[in-house]
Amino acid sequence: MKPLRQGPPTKSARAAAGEVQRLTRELSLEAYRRMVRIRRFEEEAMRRAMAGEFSGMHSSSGHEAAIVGACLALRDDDYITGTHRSHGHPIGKGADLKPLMAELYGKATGICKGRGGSMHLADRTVGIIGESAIVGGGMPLATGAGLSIQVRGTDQVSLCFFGDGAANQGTFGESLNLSAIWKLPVIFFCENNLYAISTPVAQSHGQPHIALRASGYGMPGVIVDGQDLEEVYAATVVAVSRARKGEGPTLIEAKTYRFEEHCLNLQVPIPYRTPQELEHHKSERDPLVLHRREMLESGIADTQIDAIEREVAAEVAGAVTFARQSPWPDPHEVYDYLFSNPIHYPPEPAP
Amino acid sequence: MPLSQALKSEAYRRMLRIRRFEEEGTRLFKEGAIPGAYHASIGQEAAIVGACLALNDDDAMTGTHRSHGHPIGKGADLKPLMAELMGKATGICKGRGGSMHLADNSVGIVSESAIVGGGIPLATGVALSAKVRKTQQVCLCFFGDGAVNQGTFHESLNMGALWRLPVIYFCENNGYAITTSLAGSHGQPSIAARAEAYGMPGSVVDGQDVAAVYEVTREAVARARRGEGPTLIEAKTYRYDEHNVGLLIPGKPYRPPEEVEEYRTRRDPITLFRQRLVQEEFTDADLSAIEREVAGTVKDAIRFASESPLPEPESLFDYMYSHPIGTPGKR
Repeated sequence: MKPLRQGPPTKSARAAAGEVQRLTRELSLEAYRRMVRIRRFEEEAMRRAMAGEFSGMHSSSGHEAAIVGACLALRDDDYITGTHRSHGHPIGKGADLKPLMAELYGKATGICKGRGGSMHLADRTVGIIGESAIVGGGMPLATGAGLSIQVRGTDQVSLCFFGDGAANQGTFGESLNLSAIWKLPVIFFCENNLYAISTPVAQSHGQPHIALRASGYGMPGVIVDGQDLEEVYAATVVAVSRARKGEGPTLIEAKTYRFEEHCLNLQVPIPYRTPQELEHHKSERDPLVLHRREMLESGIADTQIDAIEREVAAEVAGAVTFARQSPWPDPHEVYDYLFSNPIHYPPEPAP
Repeated sequence: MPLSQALKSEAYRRMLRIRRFEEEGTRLFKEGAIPGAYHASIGQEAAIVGACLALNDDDAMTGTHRSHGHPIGKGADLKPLMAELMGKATGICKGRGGSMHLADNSVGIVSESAIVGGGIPLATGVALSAKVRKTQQVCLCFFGDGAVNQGTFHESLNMGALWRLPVIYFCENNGYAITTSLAGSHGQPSIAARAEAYGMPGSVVDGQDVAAVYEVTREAVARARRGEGPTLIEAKTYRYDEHNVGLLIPGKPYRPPEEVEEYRTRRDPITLFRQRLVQEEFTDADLSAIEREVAGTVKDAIRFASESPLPEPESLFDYMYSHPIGTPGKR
């Protein structure tokens, strides 16, 4: 089969992971719960969107270990910024599923009161300060959050999710340099799923490893296997600890894979990845399967794992019910939450 | 490939042309004969000339806000440059551009602009054009240490590397972006080290040594012509004057006077090269002849510019893509 554009061997990183804390049994189960929550949420959302219950979405299926491994290394009061493919980020950080699902449906009970939709699941209760479809747009925001932390003198950190496509935006160069000079507590976390929509990394990057860009800004760059939860977690713990100590930012590149197309209903006329490559990742490199295996090997009972799956299935079903039963936003509130009203509403009566 | 005998005297001539042009330009600016702002290239002559001499006449270049030296380094006639500084109709941009737009197309300069980092995507586009047209031309892109932190740098270098474009990214690192030191604006001090991120070679060279700059640029040009892609060159150089003539910077000095003095007395690119030429095969008389010649050339340029007419007010709206509202367009 076609060789995968993966990074250097990651076993050494795994060995290094032994030097830092490994996942406790409790955290291991919580990680699995969050990964399953993402997967089931995405699968159900895809079904509901295809059934026409709401419009478009970008699924995070396949990215679960990268997302959850990074989020678990954070505290509740740490910040994150998301992307266009960002349902998983609030879930990874521990958000309630109901307001997220309701937001997808555009309902008044949604996390943005139905005004944002799929690409704006910014749940501030779990520290998400922004999700946006502007590719590379989150990096300066996360940098600004890092500056705010430094100015206020707290020991929070800011974790910035972005994709391989965003790494070529000018905001990347500007944000990483500024963070490095000022030693801001930021973790730049690249979910490199190898394709910017349909453009492979080899056709959009001068060299294939995004982490190698770190040294030019004077910060450490780390490549991890993004399908390996424990490895992602260990690397992020190191970066977070560095950031909290005031030693500045880290660039982490998690080599991961997207199981679905870029977005729902996208038809790419020319194949940009082989069916065999996709099948390989789904059957051999599914982060949920890999982590489940690790847990079983470490002696966690499969009944415990199955219980999590049942609970999550019920939770996702409950979120859909909640979303469906929630009201639409009141049309009279359409101009609420704006900095300025574009037109007078309701129209002023003629004098 | 080291500098040949003929190129050595040409390198000396061009460096001197820049120095004398800038000295006279500064004087005229202070006297009020030149409007606008004046950014002198004094101190950076070896970096400019060493790079330009590695190019063919038909190779392209982009400049910056501090860009009087670039056309001169590429071999431009001084008269239309000096006339442009004075805003005269005979200027290289017909008096419409002024100091920061000495883009002499006849020597391959596609643009000069005060937009920091603005030339980097232009140079990348020029190189793409050369590649598409299969012309074997290369594009040399000058920029400063400040421009490196613009997003355009990041975007352009990645694309240049990805498509193996014939472009040489040439950083004149003079240590200060106006008053901001490199340490205050870069996460780590080596600009050349950023090349690794894009999968292209990065070289550091002593920007006060014209022969060294020539050699390293020559290698980058050869690589570009072979279709092997871009190179990032960082020439460590120094600006003797303030960011622009007459700029007053209040408060604590951003660079110690001893540092400036050190460069002027011990690291002057023209003095260093002259000493070397005298030790090699040139006589003092050879070099004095070049010095007299250059003084005459600069004097002629000033006379030409002074005697040239100002643009006709009626021509104000010529050379525009579109006429602004309510103007008496000729067409």
